Amino acid sequence: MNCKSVQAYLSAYLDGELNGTERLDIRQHLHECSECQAEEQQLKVLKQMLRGLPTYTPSDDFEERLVKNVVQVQEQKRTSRFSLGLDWRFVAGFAATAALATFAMLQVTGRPGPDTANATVNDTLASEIGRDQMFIAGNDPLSGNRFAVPTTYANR
Amino acid sequence: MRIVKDTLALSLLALCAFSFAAGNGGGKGQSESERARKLLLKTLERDRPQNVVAIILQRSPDCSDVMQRIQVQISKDGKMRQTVIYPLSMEGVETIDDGRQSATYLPDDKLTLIQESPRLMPNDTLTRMNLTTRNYGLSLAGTSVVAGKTATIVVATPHNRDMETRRYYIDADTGFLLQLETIGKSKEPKLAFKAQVVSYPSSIPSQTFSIDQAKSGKTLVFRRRSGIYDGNKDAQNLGFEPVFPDALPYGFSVQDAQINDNVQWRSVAVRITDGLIKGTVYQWPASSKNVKVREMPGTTMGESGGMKLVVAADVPESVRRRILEAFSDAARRGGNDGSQAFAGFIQSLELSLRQISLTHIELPAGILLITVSNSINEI
Repeated sequence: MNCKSVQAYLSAYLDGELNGTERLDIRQHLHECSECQAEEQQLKVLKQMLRGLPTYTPSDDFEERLVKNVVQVQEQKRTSRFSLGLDWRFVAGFAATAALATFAMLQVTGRPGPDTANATVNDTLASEIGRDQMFIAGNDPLSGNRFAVPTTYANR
Repeated sequence: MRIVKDTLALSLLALCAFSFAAGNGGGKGQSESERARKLLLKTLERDRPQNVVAIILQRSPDCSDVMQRIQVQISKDGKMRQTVIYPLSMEGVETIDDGRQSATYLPDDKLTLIQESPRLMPNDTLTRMNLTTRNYGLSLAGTSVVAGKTATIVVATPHNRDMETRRYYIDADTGFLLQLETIGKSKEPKLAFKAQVVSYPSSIPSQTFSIDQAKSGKTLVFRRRSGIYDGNKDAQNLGFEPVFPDALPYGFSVQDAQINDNVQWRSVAVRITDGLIKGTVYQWPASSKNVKVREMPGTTMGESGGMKLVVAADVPESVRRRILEAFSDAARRGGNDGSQAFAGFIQSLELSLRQISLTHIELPAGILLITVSNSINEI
C-alpha cells in the first residue's frame, strides 16, 4: 500500500471499519512511514476531540416536522410550475429552443452576452477579496474572523 | 527630498511614554485597564509559550447564522494548520501556514492557492495597542470557563457609540483567545468566535505544517504583495493614484498600502485599523472595464472621483459607510493627502529599542516613499 491509499483509508482504519487484511496492510505501512504516522496521530486527536463534543438529540416531533416541510416545499414547486396554466414540458422546451437560438445569434455576432461577462469578473472580484481577507486575518485574533477560509476560487 | 526628523522624534517620544507605562505596570498597583491591555498584548504575540490544538466555532464571514467549525493546530513558533470540519459545503478546506507561505486547498475545486504567509507582514502589535488605548476603554469583567479552561474576560468599550463593544475571553496562562463576542446597539452579545475543545500538546509533528504534501489538482502561486511605498516598479506602473483621506472616522488609522497585481483586477489594498479591528479599503480605477461591482457580505462599496472603493471590515455597516465616505471625499477632491494620513501612522509606528532611521520622500507623482530601517541609513 502506498501513502495515498493508506491516508484514504486511515479514518476507516481508526474507526475499525476495515477487514483483517486491510488492517494488517495499513498497520504494516504505518510502521514504516513517519508521514502516515503523523497523519494517523492528527486524525486520532481530531476524532478524540469530536467525541468530546456535546451530542444533540432531536425533538420528538422532528421527523414529523421534517417530512411536513419537505412535502410543503414540493407542493410549492408544483404549484409554481402550473400557476400560469402552462404545461411545464412546453415551457422547458420553449426555453431550450430560445437558448439555442440566442446561442446561434451570438455565434453570428461574435459577442458574448453582458451577463455572462459580468458573472466571470464578479467572481474574480469576490475571489480576490476573499483571498486577501484570508491573508489579512491570518495573524489577527482580535479582529474577528481569525480563521477566514474562502469557499471557492473562481479566477482560474 | 525632505527628511522629517520631527516625526521620528515624536515616534520615539511615544515609544518612551509607552515603555514607561509598560514598566510601571508589573507591580501590585497595576491598574485594571493596564492588566487588560497586557492580556490583549499576550494574544497578539507571534511566538507562543505552547502549542495549541483546538476545535473552534466561528461566525461565517458571509454574515449568515451558520457557525463554521474548524480544527486548528498552532505551533509555538506560530505555524498554523486549519481544517474546516463544518459546514459540509466547506468540509476539507485546509490552510497550512509554514511561516513563509500559506497554502489553501479547496477540495471541491481541486485547487491549491499559495500566497505569502501573513507572518511576513511587519509586527504591528505595539502600534495596535497604542491605538486601542486611544479608541477603547479597557476593563476586566471577571472570569468564565470556556472549553474547560479558565478565561479572563477583557471588555473593550469603544469611545464612539457607533462601534461595537468587544468582549475577549482569554486564557491568562497561555494568551490563547478562547472566545470573542461583539455587543452592538441591540445590547445582545453576538458570538464571533468560541473554542469548543482546547489542548496544549507538548509537541506537534513537524509534517503537520509542511505545505509540500502533494494534493491532487491545480496549484496557483501568487506573487508576494508589494508595499506601495517601497518605491518599487509596481507602484510606478500602477496606472492610478490611490487616495488617502486627511483623517479617518472612529479613530481608524492607515497602516499600510499594498498592491494587488492581478491582471484582471489591478488594485491597491489600504490597510486600516482602530487598534482592535483591522480593515481594508480596496481601490481601483472606475474605468477598469474588467471588473463590475456587486455587494458582498461584510463589505461596503462605492464610486467617487473616478475610483471604485470597497471597504471590508468586521464593523457595523454604518461604520463601513462612514469610512467609505472619508475615502470618497478624498477621491472627489482628487487629492492625495497621503503625507498627512501617514504622519499619524508614523507617530504610532511600532519602534524597537534599536536605532531606527525613518524618512519620507515625496515623489513627483504624488507618491510618498517611506523608509523605516533598524539602523541608520542614508536615503
